[in-house]
Amino acid sequence: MNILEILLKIFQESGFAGLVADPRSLVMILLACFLLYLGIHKKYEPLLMIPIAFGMLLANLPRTGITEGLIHYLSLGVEYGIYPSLVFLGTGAMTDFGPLIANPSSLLMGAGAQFGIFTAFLMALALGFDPKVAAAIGVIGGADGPTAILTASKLAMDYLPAIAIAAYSYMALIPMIQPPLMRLMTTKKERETVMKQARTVTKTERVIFPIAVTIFVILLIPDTAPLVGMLMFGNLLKETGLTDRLSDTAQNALTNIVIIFLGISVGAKAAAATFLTLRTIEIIILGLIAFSFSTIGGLLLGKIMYRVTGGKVNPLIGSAGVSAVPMAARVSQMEGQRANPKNYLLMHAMGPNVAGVIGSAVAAGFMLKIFGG
Amino acid sequence: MGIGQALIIAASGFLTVFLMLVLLWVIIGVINKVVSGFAAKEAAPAAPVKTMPEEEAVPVRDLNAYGGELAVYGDMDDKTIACIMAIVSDETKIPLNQLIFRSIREVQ
Repeated sequence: MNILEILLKIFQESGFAGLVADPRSLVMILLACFLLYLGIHKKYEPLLMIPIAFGMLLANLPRTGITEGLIHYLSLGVEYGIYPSLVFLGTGAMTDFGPLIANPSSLLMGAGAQFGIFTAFLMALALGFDPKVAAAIGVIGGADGPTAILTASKLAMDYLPAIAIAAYSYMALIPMIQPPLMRLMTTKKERETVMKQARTVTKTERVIFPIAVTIFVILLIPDTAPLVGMLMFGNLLKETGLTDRLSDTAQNALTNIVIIFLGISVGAKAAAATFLTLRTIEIIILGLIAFSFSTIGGLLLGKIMYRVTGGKVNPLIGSAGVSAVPMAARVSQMEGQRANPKNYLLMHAMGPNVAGVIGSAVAAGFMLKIFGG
Repeated sequence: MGIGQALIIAASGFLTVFLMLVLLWVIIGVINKVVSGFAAKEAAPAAPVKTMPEEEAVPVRDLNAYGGELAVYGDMDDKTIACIMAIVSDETKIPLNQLIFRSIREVQ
């Protein structure tokens, strides 16, 4: 064996030869680099976009065998729905349900903002998607990444990367997607509405709330247990004031670790054969439609609340019902202040915002119940 | 799946979400009533026993409440005031709802 033969053998067994053999991998690598660009340079949900993009990059480098080893074992957390539930534990520990408890009518706007889930579900069916896949695509409209990932992992594993990327991309684009719809759907007078300060919420109410929600929601729809159960457990850790260490771990260390595993695993599921198809583009478009209809649904409920309360509720807070905490609430605040600089809607918008988290978990539980997890 | 069945699933899903969140609304209302009831019961017997003269009484502050009044001396807009409060909270590591700002004075 001479030097040339050795070099040739190294090349033939290298990833470069693999790229020549299957050029689709090259497209996936370029796509992964583009997503890294979006995450790093454009700052589109970098905490998740970067791990997802890097997972995609790793999995599509030919001949590494990584998807049968490390990635395979990390992916079990996605397949069994462990990571999304643990992310919800951290979300619960970070979430203040006070604005929702102070103004429970916010729940209606959180419900209205799930409209996009069912609209996108119907549209996906019309495009010929399998009902299970259509249900998973619809959940993108909940604007809740972990919920979308959990549903997709149970109903549409092949489409998981496309669904996850669509969900997180649109969550990052909320400041661009929502404002035009908010201005289109509301009058200037409605947007100028100043809301009065909500009542104070006692610690007892805050502690009882997660326990009561866990009991009633899970009893009614048991399939919501992984999400709602963990969300409320995390919140209870925060609100008791007796488990600060656990709350701190759930909010920081645990969530960070899980996000790394979740992102890498989801990205690594993006194989060229299933990702580089027209279906992916359709999912991305349906995701946008789902987001838009959810925003419209929340705003419509906001307008109804405005009328019913005689102009005491600013309908702009309705769009915050699409979960995406706290981005959607911030958008309501910004649009409210644009209409009236004396407007402070952030705390009011947090009500529908956290209601949306529960609403999307319930909608996902419904889909899992109907289409089987 | 037929269009009729798909519509029924979508409508019942949306209705389920609504009913669930309306149920939560009711639950929150019940919790509020029960907690207020207990608080009123606990406060009732304590009322005749006055340990502090009226003028010395300190208003009870709910640690979870946001709001109150703030005296501002100087030319500051709301955004600046909010920034100052957030920075103080961050530096002192005390949540905003546990801090009381009595006044903010601009130093030239």
